[in-house]
Amino acid sequence: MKQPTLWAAYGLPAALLVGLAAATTKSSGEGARLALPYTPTIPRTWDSTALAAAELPLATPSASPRHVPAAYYYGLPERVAYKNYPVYAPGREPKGYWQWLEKQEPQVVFDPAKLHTEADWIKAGELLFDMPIDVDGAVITLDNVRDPAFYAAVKVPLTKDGIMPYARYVVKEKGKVLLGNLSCGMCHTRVEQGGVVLKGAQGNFPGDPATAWNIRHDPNFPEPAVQYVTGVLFDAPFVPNDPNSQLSRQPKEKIAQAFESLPPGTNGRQGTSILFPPSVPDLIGVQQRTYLDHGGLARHRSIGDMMRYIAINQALDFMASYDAYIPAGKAHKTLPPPGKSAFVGTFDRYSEAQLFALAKYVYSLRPPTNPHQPTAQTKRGGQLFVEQGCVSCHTPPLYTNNMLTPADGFEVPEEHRQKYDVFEISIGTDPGYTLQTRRGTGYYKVPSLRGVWYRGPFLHDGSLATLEDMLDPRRLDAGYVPTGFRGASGAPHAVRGHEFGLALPAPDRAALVAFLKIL
Amino acid sequence: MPLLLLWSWLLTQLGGQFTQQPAEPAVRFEIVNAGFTVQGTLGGLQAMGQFDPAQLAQAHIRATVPVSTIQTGISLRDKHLQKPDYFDAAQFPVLSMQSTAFRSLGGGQYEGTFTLTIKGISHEVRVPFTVSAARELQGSFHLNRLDYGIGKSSLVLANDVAVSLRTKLAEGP
Repeated sequence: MKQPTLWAAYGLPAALLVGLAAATTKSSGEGARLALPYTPTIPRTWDSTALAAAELPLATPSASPRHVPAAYYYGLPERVAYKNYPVYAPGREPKGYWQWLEKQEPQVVFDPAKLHTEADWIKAGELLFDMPIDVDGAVITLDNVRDPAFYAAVKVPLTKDGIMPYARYVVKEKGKVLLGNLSCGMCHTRVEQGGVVLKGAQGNFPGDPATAWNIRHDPNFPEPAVQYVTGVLFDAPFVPNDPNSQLSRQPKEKIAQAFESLPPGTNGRQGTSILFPPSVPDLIGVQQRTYLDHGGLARHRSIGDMMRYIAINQALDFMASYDAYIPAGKAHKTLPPPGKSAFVGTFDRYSEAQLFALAKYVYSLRPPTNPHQPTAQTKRGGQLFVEQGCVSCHTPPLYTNNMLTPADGFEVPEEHRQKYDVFEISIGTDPGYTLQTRRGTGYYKVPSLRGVWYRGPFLHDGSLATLEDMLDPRRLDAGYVPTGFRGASGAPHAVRGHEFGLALPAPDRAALVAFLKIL
Repeated sequence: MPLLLLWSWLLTQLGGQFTQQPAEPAVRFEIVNAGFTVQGTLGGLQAMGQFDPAQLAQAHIRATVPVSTIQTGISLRDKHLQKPDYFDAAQFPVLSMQSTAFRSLGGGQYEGTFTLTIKGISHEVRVPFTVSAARELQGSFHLNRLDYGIGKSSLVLANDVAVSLRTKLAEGP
């Protein structure tokens, strides 16, 4: 049986970063610095002391992940970075392209011995950002990307050149072209209307609908496999009456419906939930974030923490023990020998140099040029932003205070008040993600508002498609149809929480939106 | 933010014992947030003591005000101010002010020295105030919110809090 589709591990958090690659700008001074000789001091990723404090405890503290020992981690083989190639949509592929691919020799594209400047490391990191870590069809298959019906059903965005930028062809052996999944870029690439690509921005690959397609159409993805994979991805058995475990035991059509309900810009990443999905984070500016993940699960104190985050999310968290539950472990109880796991992302690892290069690339991401300009309306919006108290959480210049807010139903432990940056008021958004998943800490991170003009959907679960929807008071009505994620049932329901500004007159709400779009 | 206090004297009858609660918010405060002045109030003042300008050595006032009465115009912010990172209302439900001395500044002006206690932290504050011919009392002072553990250092929220009081004193006998 072919390995079942796995829409998940991607989400390379690490990947964070980016911006329209083409629009990325650096000052001449920065450019000169990046061209100087550079010999980095690379932190040890699986440093037990650093790792022990790298994550917050879960909302259920006893289930906080215990990651694999260093001996196990370093016993995993390192990933080999083979050169990869663009995937064109059917009908857009240049004539003779496939035949050309079949003639390509495998090439290893990452060699730290050849990196002499900081710019070299960043460029190498970009290659790794685009490097699939799966060639076994973990998310989508070779058949999918060459099937017009797949594109029509899943509505995969394309670049101006007809490239489907979320997956890549990989040549590990001459004459054998593989479809590669689960690069960082798979989740952290955004294709805007008009086909403009923003690398590192809130991604919009419809990966979960793609999984739903494969559940329904792939004859090699039988119901037990669908249930198993769904469970590995999302089960949180330590949660009372875990809704994720209940879902993974449903008939596969029910599971397909749940996957299908996630709109582009959200992602059923491993350890989260397709019942309470996270919106894909914007990696541009991540160097200034002190917590990662919507729940602030990972601390970001240094580039070493970023490397740990990447390693864990690509995808050693499958092998962590959550109160004795190991998602991809043998019978969910024990670890297979290093390198012997069959589950994507768990039988190998990035090298230390690869992780460092990835982090450097993520840090280098810059936002695209903002087409929105200050006006009298944005000035008024800026005044409202202050008067309404938005600045308390979305504090300039980062437009976040880099703090954690407790969700409804979570009591802040006394020791957290000293150890973490807690802004101790719930804003009333849906607590499901942070209380009922393997990544749930009980908190939600205050997001930065920089770059909201190119992002969406909004809120941690992508419930609202646009900024205008965020400030639409009708979203509090029981009969409201959410414009973003609305759940598998699709039933109307109020989108509560973060209700700031909803009582303002319409012109003031419009002014606030206008202001936000210039950030 | 807020803070402040209360004062009792306000309600005092010049001369004699008093126990009064103002119908209107007794305390107002201002703090600059991102260049914008946020205004707030505290109500529910409870004041006891005596204040006779002719016998300042015997004057004494103790006033308290519930933290729960803070209003800043944004309900969620008011709720947040009750939490441990600000006033920690669960453990310290009232702000208190206990006079230790008064002196006359002349021309109907006085200065009271008070021990202001917020979140269990006490500091001395000096509060100048006036009592007009119409028996209107006005007083004000400043405090540093960080001295009382109210929030943390912030890029946008000032440390200085201006506290003011303006109230009509009850008619004397």
